[in-house]
Amino acid sequence: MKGFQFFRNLSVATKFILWFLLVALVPLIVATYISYDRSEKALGKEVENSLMAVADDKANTIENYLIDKKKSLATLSHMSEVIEVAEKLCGASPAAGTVAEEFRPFLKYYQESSGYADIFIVGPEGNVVFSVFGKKGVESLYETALTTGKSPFVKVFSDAKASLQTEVSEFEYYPESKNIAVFIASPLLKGSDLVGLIVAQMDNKGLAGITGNYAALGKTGETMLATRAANEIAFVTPLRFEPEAVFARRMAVGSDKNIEWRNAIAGQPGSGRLTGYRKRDVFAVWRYLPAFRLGMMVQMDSSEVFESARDLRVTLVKIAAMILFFTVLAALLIANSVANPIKELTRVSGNIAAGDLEARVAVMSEDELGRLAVSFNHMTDSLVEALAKVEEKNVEVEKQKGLLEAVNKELDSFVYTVSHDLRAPLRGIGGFANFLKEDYSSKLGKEGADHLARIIAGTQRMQRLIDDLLALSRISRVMNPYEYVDMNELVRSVLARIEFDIKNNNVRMSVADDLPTVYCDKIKMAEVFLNLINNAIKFSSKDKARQPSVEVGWRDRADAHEFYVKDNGIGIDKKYHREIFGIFRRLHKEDEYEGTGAGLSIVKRVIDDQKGDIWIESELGKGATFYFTIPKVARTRKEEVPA
Amino acid sequence: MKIKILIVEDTEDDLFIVTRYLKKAGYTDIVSAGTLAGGIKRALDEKPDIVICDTLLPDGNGFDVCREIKTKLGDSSPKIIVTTGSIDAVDAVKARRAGADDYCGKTSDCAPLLEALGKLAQSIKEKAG
Repeated sequence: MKGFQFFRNLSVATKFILWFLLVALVPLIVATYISYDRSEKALGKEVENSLMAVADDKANTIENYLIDKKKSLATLSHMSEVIEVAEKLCGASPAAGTVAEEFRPFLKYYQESSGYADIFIVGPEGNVVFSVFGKKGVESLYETALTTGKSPFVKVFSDAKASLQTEVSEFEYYPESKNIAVFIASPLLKGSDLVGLIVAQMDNKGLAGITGNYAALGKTGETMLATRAANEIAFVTPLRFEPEAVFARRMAVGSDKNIEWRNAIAGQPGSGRLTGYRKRDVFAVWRYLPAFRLGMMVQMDSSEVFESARDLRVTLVKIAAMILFFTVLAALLIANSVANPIKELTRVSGNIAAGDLEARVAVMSEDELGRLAVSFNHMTDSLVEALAKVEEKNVEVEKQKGLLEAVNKELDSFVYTVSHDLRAPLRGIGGFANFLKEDYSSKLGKEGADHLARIIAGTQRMQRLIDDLLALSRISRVMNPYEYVDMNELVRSVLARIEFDIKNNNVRMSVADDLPTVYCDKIKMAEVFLNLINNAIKFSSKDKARQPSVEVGWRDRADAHEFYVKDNGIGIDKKYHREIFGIFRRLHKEDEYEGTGAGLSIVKRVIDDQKGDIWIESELGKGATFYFTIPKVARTRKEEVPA
Repeated sequence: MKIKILIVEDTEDDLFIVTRYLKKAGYTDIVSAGTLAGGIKRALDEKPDIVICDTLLPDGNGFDVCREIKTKLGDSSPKIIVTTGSIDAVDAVKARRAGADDYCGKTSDCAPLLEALGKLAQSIKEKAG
């Protein structure tokens, strides 16, 4: 969810870029991968095929070369002159030396034209009787070879003597001269008698010439020839990147490695990928060349093979980078074409919010954004219009307010006039009526005294009516500042004010000792309790049968404090519950309860001011409970309430 | 000791009623004035012990009477009770600010006034010993 939120908070331009990249990149990556993969496979196959062709070609060339060498010697062994000379040389005739010298140019020519390193004639017993390059130097060598019986020369001699066929020896390496030699031996037969053997020595120069031709083998491809040397496999020709490898680099036959070479030499051709002598991954094709029992391997570095594939990959990456670049560019352009008008809208709306009502958005297009801009300007126009109207109304309201204040002032002076001037004559009437009663009651007679008493009662009642009316009007007019008021203290002060009435009526007062602290108009709240408790005392004290009882309590509601004042008086009929709070509503006969009935009206006004509720629960004869609520204002936080 | 009382009152009826109740209550040494100026003059001339002063007078209000007497006579000034025909609580505050010693509303039986008067007379007598 968090990542999602992060994405949502990105700027529009960034979002566009991300989406464009997503849309462009995925197919691009898939296409690149597929084409690269395919080209790699195709290249691999192609290289394998071409390597195989090269290998076949090389194998043919080498095999033909070697067979040709073999045939040449065989041809020589059938020449009657050669046989005759050999007979003479082997027969140890006294003229042998002369015969050899006469014969030497012929064989030398033959040796050179056939590409042999040397040509020997050997007697049936193994004694070397002739060599193109002089008898003296080589004789001892071959004698040594003969006695040890291990040299390829000896072996090929023995083989040819036994089979009376042309035989080919193993390759042999001479570390001193760094030369390599292989021998071909053919029997010299006169009829069925073995006169001797003719042996040709070959070096690897001819083979190296063939393997050293790297045509169609690129930069890393090469042809390698190897032979079995004891328990190892040794290279016969120089390697392209390791010319001195001839017989120097050897591969053990017994190990798990070089299986391909073993297979090649064992006559099992094949192809595949392997790690070459340079520790590189190579494509390789291997063959067996039976004529000289050689293994041949044609190989090429796979890195070269895949070079073109890599080129392709680089090209693809370049294309991808370009597509990316243009994608980002396009995304930016599109994003800006969307975001800029929005930014402009934001800027202008900010200006308007800051009070510049003249600011308007420049309409740059006719698309949705353009229409939005038009609507926005339209809205701003309407706003300006509406503001002007509100301003007009405000002026009117101010005017009305002024009027209202004037009226209120008038009312104030009216109230004062009423309270002062209206009460003055009333006071006179009451005062003089009292004097009449005091001074002349005996002269008035019973009926006159009664009339006078009625006048006095009337003035008193009139006095109270006026007082109540004024009290009520004052309650509505005067707004005292709200403060935190401890209700325990408030109720205590109210009870002190009516102490006389409580004692006089023998009222059992019970007030909860945990009343809360309430944010309210202290003076008016006191009026509420005063009137409700007075009311309760008044109505509960008329039932002489039991002691009047008044209870003040409260309970905490979620949004308000709820108080109640409960009495055990005569109760109030349900049908009057609503109208009881109306001004001068009297439910009882005048002489039964004193008062004008303004008290509950005052209470209701105060509770209305406090945005609270007031209601009554009562049944006739069962006492009454007045409930009222004072909302907990937002400011009534615990820490601000004084302890 | 005899308490001398000055009543500053412009309404004839009220003056009559108050005078009668005061006399009945035993305050026989009574002088009166009907205006602000007259009230101040009599207060200075007669040196009453207690001044009962109405708030509304033809040439001013009772608070000014109160203030003038208190300023002019200082420590030797009489006790002053401001009476009002209004029930406006603001008057009580104004009276206290003007230096009045007590304040009460006017009623036809003069009960509040007699009560206030009783208290002040008591304190004056105690002071005089």
